[in-house]
Order: sequence, then structure tokens, then C-alpha cells
Amino acid sequence: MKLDDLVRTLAEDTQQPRLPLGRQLTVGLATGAALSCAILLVTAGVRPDLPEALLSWQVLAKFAFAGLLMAAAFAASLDAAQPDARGGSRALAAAPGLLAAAVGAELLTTPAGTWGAAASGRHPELCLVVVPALSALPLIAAVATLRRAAPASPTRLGLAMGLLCGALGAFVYMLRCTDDAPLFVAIWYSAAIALVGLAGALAGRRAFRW
Amino acid sequence: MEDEEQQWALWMQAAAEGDQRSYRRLLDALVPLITAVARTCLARNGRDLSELDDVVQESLLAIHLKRHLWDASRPLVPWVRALVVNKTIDSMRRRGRRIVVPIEPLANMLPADTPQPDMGRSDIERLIGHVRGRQRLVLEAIALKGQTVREAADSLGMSEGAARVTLHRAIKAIAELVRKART
Repeated sequence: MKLDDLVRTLAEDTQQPRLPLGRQLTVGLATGAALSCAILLVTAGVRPDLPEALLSWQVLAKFAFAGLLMAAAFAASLDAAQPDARGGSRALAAAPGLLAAAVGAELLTTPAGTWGAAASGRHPELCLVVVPALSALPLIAAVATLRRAAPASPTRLGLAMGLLCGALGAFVYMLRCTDDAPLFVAIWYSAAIALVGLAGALAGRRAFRW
Repeated sequence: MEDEEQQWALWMQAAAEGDQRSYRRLLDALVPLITAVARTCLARNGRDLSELDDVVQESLLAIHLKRHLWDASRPLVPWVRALVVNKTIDSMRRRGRRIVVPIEPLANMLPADTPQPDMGRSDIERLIGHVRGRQRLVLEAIALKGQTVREAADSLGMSEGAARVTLHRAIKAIAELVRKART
């Protein structure tokens, strides 16, 4: 086959390209997140003191951490989906930075004797299990969408996607979880999100080759 | 060069809106760029150029199937370049270190009229043989016999719409075969 035949054949294929990837990813993640929220509501419900809790700086910092990480990982995923990915997403440092500041504030304002109890919280094991579980549906949706990408590095795209879905699962679980200490968030939520990030990287390595 | 790039970007946008002629012009214009990038990339890695044709074809296929990813706010040429470099690296990995026997001395030993199977045939052409059913018929009609979608539809007794859908699926099937061939 001559090159010209290939060009002619490709030009004959006028099936319209689909929605932009970013919009499709948003739809997939929103659907996954809505289902995860529904599962949380049906099985455990939200924390009973949610309205008052939103007035405490620790709880706000917790939600802000997950929200910032989600936003940065979303942008990093769309960048990594391109063959000419720019990489080096500095925005990803914002969430850990905020969390470090919150931990600093906690250490300055509470006596050293309470730090151990704050770090282990009430249900660290639940955080490690429930966050990945609530991330699963968004992760499936994200893998299905991002298979259309053309990443320079499939693993890197998978990692960004995993962090995005991990942060999303964490955000949903935060509606229920009453362990609010920044130390707890820094240890257990970070570990749970990292687990989902790792799963994403492994999945991406296989699924995102093009 | 700048004007040219702008023209290409305009063609790409027109193509996204279904303008087949602009798309054809764009692909024709991109072939020399793709070839130059792939050639440089192969040469830099100390590879001979026997895989150049295949890399160019695979890159064209990838540009076609991934064109929805290109964002009009990003410059087109660096995007195409990066894509071709990715495809070239893929091809080099897939083929690994291969010993290439020069063909001329062997060719003299063959009787002149013997057809030489697969020689000079690209991977993609060989892969058309692995596509099944109607997809293969449509591909052969368009890619090998030079028909348009409408002509292919008429000769195969399909509606034009069905032929279009089949062609699109067939092209995706080829890309999938290329992907599988390297694992």
C-alpha cells in the first residue's frame, strides 16, 4: 500500500471526533462520584454533625486538601494524556503544602501529649479501606475515558488519574469520617490516596498504551 | 513556516467540523514533516531506515485516531512531532535489535519472476489481511482498489452510512492490531 492510499483512506473516514477529552472525563468522574456518594449515603450516611463541623478549620482544611488535590490531578491528567505532555505539574504541590501548614498549626496549638491520639484517630483502618472503595467507580470511568488518550507516558497518566480518583474518593468519605485532625489526614488519607494512585499507575501502564 | 503552521491548524479545525478536503490537504502536508521527524529519530538512535515507512504509516494512523485530542490552543506542529517521536520509539522497542540483511545480494539469487511475498509490503497492508468480514471488504475496496466510501458501499451492496461506520471501525481495528503486534 502506498502512503497516498493510506492518506486517502483516512480522509474518507469522516466519523466525527467525539467530545473533548476533558469534558468526557468530567462526565465520567461525576457519574462515578455520584454513585459513590449514593453508596455512602445508603450504607453509612453522612456524619451527623456535618453542618457544625464545616465551621471548624480542621474540617475545612481536610476538604480543601482533597479539593485542591483533585483540581491539580485533573489538570495533570489532561496534560499527561497528550503526546507532548509538559509534565512537571507544580500545582500538585499545593495540596500537600496546605496539609503541611495545617499540621504545623496543629502542632503549635496542641500539647505534645495529644499528638499520638490525634494521629491514630478513631478509625484509621476504615480510611484505608473505604477511600479506595469509594474511588473504584470513578477510577473505572476514568480508565474507560482515558483509553482514548495518547499519553507520552502511560504510567504517568495512570498515576495522575489514580491521584485524581483517590482524592475524589477521599472527598466523599470526608462527608462521613469524623477524624478531623490534620495529623490523621496527613497520615491515613495520604496513604489511602497513594494506594489508589499506585493502582492507577499500574492500570495505566497496561491500559493506556496506544 | 509560521503561515504554513497556521494554515495547518485551520485545516485541522475544519477537519474536526467534517471538511474532508481540508483534512486530505492537511494529511498530505503532514507527510513530509512526519517522515523528517521519524527519519531523524531513527538515525539518532543508530537505526537503519528499513522501518521508516512503517513508522510513517503508524504515525498517520495515530494522528487520525487521536486528532480529537488536539486542542486548538496548543500549537499543532509540536503536537504532531511529539506524537511521531512516541510512535518511532514504540516501533524501535517492538523491533528490538534486529539484524538487517542487505537484500540486494539475495535478490540476485532469486529467479526474476518469482513473486516476493511481503517484501516491500508495509505492516499495515499485511494487517488488513487480519481484519475480518465486512470491515476487510470495505478496507480493501477503499485502500487497495482506490474506491471512495460511496463506491465501496455500492459495490458491496451496503448503505453509505453503514460503509462509513464500517470503515471507521476497520481503521480502529487496524490500530488495535498494530498495538497488539508489539506485545
